[in-house]
Amino acid sequence: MRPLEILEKKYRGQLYEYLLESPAMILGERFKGGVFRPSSKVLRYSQITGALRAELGIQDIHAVGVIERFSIDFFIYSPQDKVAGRSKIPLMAEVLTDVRARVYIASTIDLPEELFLRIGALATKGFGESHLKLVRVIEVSELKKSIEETRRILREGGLPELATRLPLREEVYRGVFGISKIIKPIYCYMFYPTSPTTGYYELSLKEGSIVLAPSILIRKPEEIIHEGWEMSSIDSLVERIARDRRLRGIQFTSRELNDLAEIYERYGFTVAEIHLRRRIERTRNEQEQYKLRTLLNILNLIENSRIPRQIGAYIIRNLDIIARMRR
Amino acid sequence: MQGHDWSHVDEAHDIGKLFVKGVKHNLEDMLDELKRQGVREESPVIQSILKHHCTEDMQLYPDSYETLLVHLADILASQASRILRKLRERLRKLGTNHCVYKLWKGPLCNRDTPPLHNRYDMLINYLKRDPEGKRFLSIFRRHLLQRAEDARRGANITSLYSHSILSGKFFRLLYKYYFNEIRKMKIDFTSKEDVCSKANDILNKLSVTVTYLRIIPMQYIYRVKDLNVFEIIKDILSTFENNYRDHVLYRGFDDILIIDLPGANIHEELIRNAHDYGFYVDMHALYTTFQKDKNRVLGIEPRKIAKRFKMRECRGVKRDCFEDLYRYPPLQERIDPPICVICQLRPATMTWVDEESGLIEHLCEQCYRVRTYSPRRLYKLAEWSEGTVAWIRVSLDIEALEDALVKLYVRYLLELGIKNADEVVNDIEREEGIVSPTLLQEFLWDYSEFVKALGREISSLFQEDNVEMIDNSFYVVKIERPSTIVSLIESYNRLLWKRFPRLAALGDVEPIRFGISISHVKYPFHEHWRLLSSMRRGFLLYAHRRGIVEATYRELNATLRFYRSREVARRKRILYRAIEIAEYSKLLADAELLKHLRYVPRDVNLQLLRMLLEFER
Repeated sequence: MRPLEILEKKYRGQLYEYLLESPAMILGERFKGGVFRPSSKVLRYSQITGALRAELGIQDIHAVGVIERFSIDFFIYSPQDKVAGRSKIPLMAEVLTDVRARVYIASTIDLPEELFLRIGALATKGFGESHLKLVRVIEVSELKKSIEETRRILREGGLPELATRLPLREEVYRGVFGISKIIKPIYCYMFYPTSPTTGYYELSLKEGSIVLAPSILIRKPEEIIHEGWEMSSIDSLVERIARDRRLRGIQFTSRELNDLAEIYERYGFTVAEIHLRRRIERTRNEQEQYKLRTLLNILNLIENSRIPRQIGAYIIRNLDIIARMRR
Repeated sequence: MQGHDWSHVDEAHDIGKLFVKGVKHNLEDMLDELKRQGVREESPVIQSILKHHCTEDMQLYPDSYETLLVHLADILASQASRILRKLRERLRKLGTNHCVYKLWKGPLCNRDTPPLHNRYDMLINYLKRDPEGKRFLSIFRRHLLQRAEDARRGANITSLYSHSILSGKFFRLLYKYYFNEIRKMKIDFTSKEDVCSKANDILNKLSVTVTYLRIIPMQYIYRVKDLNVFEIIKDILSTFENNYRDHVLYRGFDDILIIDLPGANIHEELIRNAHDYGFYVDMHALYTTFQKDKNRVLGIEPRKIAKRFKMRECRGVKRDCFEDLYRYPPLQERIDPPICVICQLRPATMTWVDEESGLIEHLCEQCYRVRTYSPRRLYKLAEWSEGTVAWIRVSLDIEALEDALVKLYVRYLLELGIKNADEVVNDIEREEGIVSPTLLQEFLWDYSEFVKALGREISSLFQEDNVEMIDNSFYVVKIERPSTIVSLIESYNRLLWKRFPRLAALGDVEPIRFGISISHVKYPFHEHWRLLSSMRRGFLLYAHRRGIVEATYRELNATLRFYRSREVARRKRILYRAIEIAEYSKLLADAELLKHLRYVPRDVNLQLLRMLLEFER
């Protein structure tokens, strides 16, 4: 079978790319016994495909997810013995919060701009609510090109690692998702349901396997540096600001940063924006204007990242230090 | 030659280097005197000493199959000759130091004569008493460890001890697997020219496989009993090493580097044993000959050797090619429930009933075998039901070690005033490689001492009841005072800089990795293991819910020094604020630290600083 052959023939040669955002989800591993239940950091095929099948009511669909960012929190719960009506030993579940992931879907039907899914464990407690927004439709030609990009990495001595889990069914991993060669597989099993109460485990490719595949399925080392390394939305915002080249060479006075931070914290984004725009209008000095515009950009970044206002104000107050961090 | 045991002869072939200054260490100038003193010329040791060289300086040469093998083993085990091929002329001007210069530490001592210079009474006494060389290593160990294989400055980077041990191994391997083949070759032993030219041809023809194997457990460990996997891995590797000592170049906690010979395929035995417990094996194998176009092939990491000799990936016949793969035990395409709860890779055919809770677990045969493996139990760990523990591991990455040793050698040459040292070393790297198994061996002894010393530090920092040793490079300790972790990190840093100062100062390559992973005792072990088995930098510190930090040797050192400086001590209270901020964002916490510190020295790692503060608060 040629790579992407099934995608071309059956799924119109397209993969839908969605941006998934979820405030909290638990992607359970099958651990038994322990009082601590870690969450998987991978949005695997069975989980996302299962959720889509349940939501859309169609069986002929394949999807994988690649998590880009998450933070970690914990949820303590105590399952009840239904007969005795008593609680058992409390369990601590690891929760991925503020999750952002890319989801790639092969579907025979047109998919909507937005989807709402429940993914993972403890859905009854509200975990796993996910919002998926269509970003783009990737054509087969682009996927083929990106396989060549991975091939280049391999030639140069790099080891491209798979970023998700896929069943070792040729029509899926090769035909739909374009894994052309499995160089060093790490195996695992994923549950394949055959009915609501039955199913079996099928041999699968685990994340970390060395593969020749489209770059969308390959781990990007700069995004998740280490397994177990979480980056909160605040961290990623601070990192982005620290790396912003526009901030280099700008001197902020502590007074102007404190004023802006206070306005933002007390009155919110709109008032802070008006404050900055007024100052831009008033000043004739180009350098000063550039500085204020940069501040306005940062303010927009903070607002768009939807972090608590107090933290946003703290970032503004310490902007000059943050800009120094990555120098 | 008949009737003599040659198995330990080779180790003693360079004994002359302990007594004689100058090139004629094969004692041919002393032969008459030796015979007068009662040393028998036909004894294997004397034969191997007199006739192990093919050089113009020496008249005697290998004139039998046995002495030819000694010569071949000497070539394979020589670290110095790799260097001298390119640098002979330049090193001539630099003089000699008969003591070893350890690339990671510096010179052991300075001597312009060998350690037993002119002590011929000792030499004669030994040669008379031990004609088969069986006691050579134990009698001369101290002197052999000090004496460089080659005394020329710039080439004196390995000891005679490592050279003797390695050449002994190579001799026995050649004797065992190739003696008959070599005997079939027509060699005119009356002609020095014929013998010496054939030596190279032989090494160009003899096949060898260099194999690196790492055993990887598939089990998700969540019960103390399942930590048996490490006991099993240790036993598999040590049994293998005991059975095939001459084949083993390196053995680590879970990995091994071996020389395999066609027909022997000893690595298959190790893989079979690993599969019996459901483990899989990461295997890098290089199928080649001992020499290629007069360049010696043996190095450390098969992947690097393959790159040096531009070898392709194996397809079909395994000759002059390289293989990099995972070797799995058989796996089914589909498994009907129940699946084994520990490895989640095989059908569960056995049941395990927990004695205390009565909980039933479904296991596969292999995982059941793991649970019931050893009577040795980690009793202390099993009893710790509350509190915080730290898993501590020190490991060695031999691929990074090879890079580090090459860099350290460049530095050594630069210190000796060799211009273009970089280029010269690159030249050697392209042909034979700087790092031979002998240099690796030399490093491993020091590394092993370092690991033991670290173990002693751990035992002294934590009470006996609070320390559980999985292996001498892997511990779990119960933490009563978090500040002990800071002391542990400081101890490690001190030991590292004391025992490997030049390596630690390198900055960009870190073959020794030290990791600490801290959590509540009930936090699952495999989460710790995931971090500690894939450390990429010199130092890793993970504290559950507090963050993770990686640091280079330099960063670790600079941060610890800064942490103990007055600059930090004076502001500790304000700096503690960063710890609260870290609950929301680790990066903002770093910014908070920067805000309050007037001067942060180069290489200080703010994340690490924050975590140290947190442990001592």
